[in-house]
Amino acid sequence: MSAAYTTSFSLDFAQNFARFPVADQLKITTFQTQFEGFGLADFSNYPGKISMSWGGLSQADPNYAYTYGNDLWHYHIGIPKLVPSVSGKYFTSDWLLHFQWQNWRANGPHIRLVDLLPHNSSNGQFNLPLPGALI
Amino acid sequence: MSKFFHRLRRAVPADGELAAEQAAKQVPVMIDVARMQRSLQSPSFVMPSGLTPEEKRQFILAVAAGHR
Repeated sequence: MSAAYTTSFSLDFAQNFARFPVADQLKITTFQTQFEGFGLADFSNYPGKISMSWGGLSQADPNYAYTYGNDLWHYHIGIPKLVPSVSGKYFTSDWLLHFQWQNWRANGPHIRLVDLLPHNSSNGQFNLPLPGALI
Repeated sequence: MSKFFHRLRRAVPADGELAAEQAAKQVPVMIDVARMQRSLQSPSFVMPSGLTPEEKRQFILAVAAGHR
């Protein structure tokens, strides 16, 4: 019997979602559908890159504790489009879908969509969801 | 101490050794109370399974509009 993979989201996420074009909304719900089918045991089931948001951060970086402590991951959702990464290993996009994946060490069957943000803010910093968006 | 009593002593752990062994087997559970409270207070909507991407889109929009 396969695991029942489920997604959830907050009211705030839904209200932000409503502001995006239909094509972009469908990219998000297609990701949810893929997650229901495959979970996240094998990232190759997804066209965009999936990363833990503390990847590449040193443990001294305040964002490390914030992202690791909140099980924050992100998916390159393909907004505006997917492009090959410099290494050629992945497809990335300017916008990221942030989600919390609790129990990721055990391939947890549930993710909570948190926010949709441009990769970097205007000052060049990696954009992260605000604490109020997290559980 | 004779060899017999020495062997007996090693075969039967002292109370302190037993407690240490049990403590080693127990994994502490970390509970973030503040996070748990936020989780309980924040309205969260679980996507019904089996919907198409378009149906999911409509579901989220209905939540946004306060229809769920």
